[in-house]
Amino acid sequence: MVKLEDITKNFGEITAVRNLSLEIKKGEIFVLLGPTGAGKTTTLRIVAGLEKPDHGRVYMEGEDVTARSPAERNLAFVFESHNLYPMFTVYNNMAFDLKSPLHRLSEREIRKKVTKVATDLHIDHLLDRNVTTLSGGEMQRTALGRALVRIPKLYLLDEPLSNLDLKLREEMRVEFREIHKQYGTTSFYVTHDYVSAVSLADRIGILYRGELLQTDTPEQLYRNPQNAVVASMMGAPAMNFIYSRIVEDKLFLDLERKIFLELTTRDLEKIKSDCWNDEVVLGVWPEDVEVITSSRKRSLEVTIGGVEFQGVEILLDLLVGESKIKVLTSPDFQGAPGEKRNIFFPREKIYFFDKKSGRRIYLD
Amino acid sequence: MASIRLRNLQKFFGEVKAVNDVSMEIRNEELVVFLGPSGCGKTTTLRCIAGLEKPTAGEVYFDQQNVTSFSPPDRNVAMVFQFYALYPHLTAYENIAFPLKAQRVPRAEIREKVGQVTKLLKLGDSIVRRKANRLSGGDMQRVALARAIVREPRVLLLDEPLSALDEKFREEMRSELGALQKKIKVTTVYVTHDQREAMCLADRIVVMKDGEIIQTGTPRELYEHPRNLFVGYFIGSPGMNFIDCLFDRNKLMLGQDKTELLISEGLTIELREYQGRELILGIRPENLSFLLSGKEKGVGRIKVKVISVEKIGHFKIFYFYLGGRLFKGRASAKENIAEGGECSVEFNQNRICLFDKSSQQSVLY
Repeated sequence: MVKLEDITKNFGEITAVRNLSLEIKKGEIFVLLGPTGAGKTTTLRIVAGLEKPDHGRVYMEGEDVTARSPAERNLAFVFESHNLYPMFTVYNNMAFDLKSPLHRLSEREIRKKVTKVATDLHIDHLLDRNVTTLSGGEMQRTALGRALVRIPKLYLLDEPLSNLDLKLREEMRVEFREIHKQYGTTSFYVTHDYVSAVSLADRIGILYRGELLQTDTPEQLYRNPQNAVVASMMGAPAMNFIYSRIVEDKLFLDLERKIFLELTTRDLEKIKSDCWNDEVVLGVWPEDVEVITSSRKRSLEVTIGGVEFQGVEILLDLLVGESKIKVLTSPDFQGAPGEKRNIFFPREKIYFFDKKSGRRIYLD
Repeated sequence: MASIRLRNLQKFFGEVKAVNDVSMEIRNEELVVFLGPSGCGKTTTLRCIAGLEKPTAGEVYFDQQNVTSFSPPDRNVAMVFQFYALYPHLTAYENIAFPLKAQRVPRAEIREKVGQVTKLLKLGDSIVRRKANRLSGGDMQRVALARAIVREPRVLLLDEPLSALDEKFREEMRSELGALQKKIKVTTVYVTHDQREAMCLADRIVVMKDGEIIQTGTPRELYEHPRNLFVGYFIGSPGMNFIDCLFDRNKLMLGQDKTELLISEGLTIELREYQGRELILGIRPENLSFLLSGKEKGVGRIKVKVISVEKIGHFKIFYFYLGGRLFKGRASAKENIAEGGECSVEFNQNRICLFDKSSQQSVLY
């Protein structure tokens, strides 16, 4: 449906986006996830036609639209600051674009469309209200409604939920997915928020410093990150990274070389051959670390740094040598800072990354 | 260091009862969080403790001493606000030293104390020498904190200090703040609308609504045994599911269509006196277990249709309708839950919350 081919965009000396190629399939919600400054908004603006790329082409439904203006691309925007017309009612904000002669719609047809979308978004009771009297959530829904009445080819959304409080954000996410399915639309959604990304996306593209590192389903990115940077963005709490070194056929997790991970000779050989200078970053999800009652083969002894009750789980801060790791465990866990415990990393749950490049090292 | 006691505190602004008969005790060295939505009275209560607001009625005691008529300086409290309130043209050092200078503390002592506090707050030399208006939001907040604690106040008061910071930084600062408070051991009162902050930092949380205290307790107490519907709603994310229900002999009838839910003997006995009374059932997503279709016979089980599934790393949230309401359940990522598919859901009988519909108070504890 939308194709970006080898896009590069520079702003003076800064390369905001570099050699970016991606495809958005018809009917999907594609999320571009990355930290602030990664180039997400620039990419969105290039898809929109608000920015011209220095290199590369933009295709929509097979046509090269690189030279076309935003209006010619038939898109709808929903941004962080909703940009509603403050002097208009909800109805007039939503109807505004439809009143343009381009659409050639009668007053009755407009009213019908607006009312339907407003009902789907649960703001039909607000149609005659002036938008400045609305709450944040209601304004965001109006902005979304304004985009939905037009049934464009593509919806472009730039962090539309970040200003809403947690509860409202949760509600809006479910509603957005429902509406999306119902209307059969295609969306390109840009955010730095991991939770919004994974709950909405059919596929996610991880953008970092202008480069697209990996594109896949949320599930695959979580299970199979190709790079330490991708892994670092895909969880809450984030993946634990422990800097380790292979010395004399053992993988040490601390500088004093007292703590090491037992690995088979075969695994060790593979890691050695794929990393630079025998330096490896070991990655493991907080939810995959097992806290066990007593030491056993291949377990590690750790000290409890902190215990945080989070309701559905307990988040532990554990000290492994000089490294601090976070572990999610059952809310029934008993323990206090300073006490010692034993933990175990299941082999299939450990990720290895080359320290220099961040590249994933795959074991058989 | 001090214990704090609030006795029948009231603050009215004309007709508005911002704080309406608030009484509580805060122990020495405790970190208490006042939690509630905008306008619940938490900030006004904090300002009464600070001496920035004169109560309409009631008293404030520090260590048995009635300080209600004392001005803020005379109470020896330090306050940190949402918007740091630093002198922009002074350096971080000068901002932190300011209160000590005002007290005419000798130069060498100032240097020592400021050094201790900047070390505690991990403010490096380059930051300390910089002008406040050239610091990042996070560093400004650290400087504001440093300035507050350098005076070794009796009580430390914080009014939504992390709200202006962006998400990632807020998480870091949250744990730092907690560790800091335990280290310097100062009685601390913290105000926020963010329940995650409250759960992470508090020894005890005070949930407020419309100027009143709804419930006080440890994070675990409030999470597992909310005594009021509002507490069940406000604490925990994703939030608690709620539905109207009627208790009838050995079952609950849920929602408009009176879907039947069999309940355990223990729960039946507890609810004896509520036969026919209008109640509201509350249950957290993680206390709704996902079972494969065909297993809906039995206590606490209901057959439902899954509307949608969100997979978030190591867990899933699945949505379904029950009695006309949209419910959220939580399951491990391993569970195979199909959107549009039928399944059974099991209510954990020990975790069902029931509230009286009119008073919103828990009928179980």
